[in-house]
Amino acid sequence: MTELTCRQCRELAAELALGVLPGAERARTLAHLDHCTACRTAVSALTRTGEALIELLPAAEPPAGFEHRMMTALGPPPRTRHWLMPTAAIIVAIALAGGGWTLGRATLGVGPLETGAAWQTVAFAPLKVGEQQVGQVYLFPGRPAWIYLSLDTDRNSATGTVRCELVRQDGTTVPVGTFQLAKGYGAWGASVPVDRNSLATARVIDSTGAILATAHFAN
Amino acid sequence: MTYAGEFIPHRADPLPRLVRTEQVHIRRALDIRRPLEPMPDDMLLAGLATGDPQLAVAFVRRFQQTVFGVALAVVGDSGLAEDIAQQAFERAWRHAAVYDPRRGSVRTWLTRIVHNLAVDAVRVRRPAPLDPQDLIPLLVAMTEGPEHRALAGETSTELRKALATLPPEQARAVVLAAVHGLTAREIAEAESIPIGTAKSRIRAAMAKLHTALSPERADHD
Ligand SMILES: [Zn+2]
Repeated sequence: MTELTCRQCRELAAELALGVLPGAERARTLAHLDHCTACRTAVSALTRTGEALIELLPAAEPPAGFEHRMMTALGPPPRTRHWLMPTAAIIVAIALAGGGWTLGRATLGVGPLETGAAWQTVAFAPLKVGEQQVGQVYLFPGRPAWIYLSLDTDRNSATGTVRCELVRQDGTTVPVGTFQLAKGYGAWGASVPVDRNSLATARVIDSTGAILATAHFAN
Repeated sequence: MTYAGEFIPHRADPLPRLVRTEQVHIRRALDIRRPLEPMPDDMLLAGLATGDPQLAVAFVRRFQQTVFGVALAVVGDSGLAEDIAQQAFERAWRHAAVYDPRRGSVRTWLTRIVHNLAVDAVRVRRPAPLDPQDLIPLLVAMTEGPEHRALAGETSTELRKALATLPPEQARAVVLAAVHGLTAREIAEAESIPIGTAKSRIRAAMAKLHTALSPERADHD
């Protein structure tokens, strides 16, 4: 099987991108793409064009009862997956619950079907005032890592801008941003330049510089 | 970089009080009813992965016309299109966890899923060779379809315009390949033309459509 030139590859690129190139030609084209970045880029662009074309297809109302049949077909939720959700699913759960639940330390799969066993851990710590828990902080692994926190201080007077600060294990502090509290409640997320292994504490500080709540991450 | 607006889509709602149980089941957390409509597509998809029926219904409602429309355009039969639409949602539901937002919107991802299923289905059961003249209504719908269904604004307008201005034989070739999944050989048979001609029509059409979509479109000429 002779190697395709870039020119020959480009002649087949559109058919490959549209998924209509038959076996032998497809194999030769893919072999060329294996080591040719320029042709790969060209094929990706044409693939996006093909997808855009499909998106021009007119929408259509499905037959009556489709939604009901669909829900029956989906059946009971896949219970075993509750702790194997992508990060975004955790976010949506938190967002929906308005900070109303604690996760503990959940193990997440980040695209396990695509990336193999890319298991990562979300770190969690309760936000406390003294011994009382008033909220929670999650540190999500990633590049960059990011935190999500919510707190409910039960203090209606606590309204306005507060800031969040992280403390590393070596004692250095990292300001990560500000957010709004309304009647003691606030929830917020931000990317952070701190990884799980170096993070010791997260705290929320009010406009007077007083510490409202602190979360200690166990190590 | 702050994401607060993305993470808390419904801050205007009355806030639920904290449930300070050590581990509250996610499904219970999701049972706090919230309007789902303003939720971004990718969050709704992520929610689908949790198996919450409320999110599943919202997801199906949001995308069923798109999904069914693609299936119907490819297979041309309402009953078969419904089967395929259903399979597409099931597949999306099973694979919600591997959706990668960097590779395109949820709508694009779903469209790709249902289109692949539909093309596979007609490849197996296509009753008779397609008559290229039968494509005319579909081409009209694709070039004049309602704007809000497709790609964001200007991009889709440019693509529609480009498709509408292709020579008719190139437009038919690219729709037969891109939408119906016909190979150049099948297009050649349907149009009674040499295979080389079919290939060059597909190539020429795709090149023009690609140019129409590229932001760095050449100013000259
Ligand atoms: Zn090349």
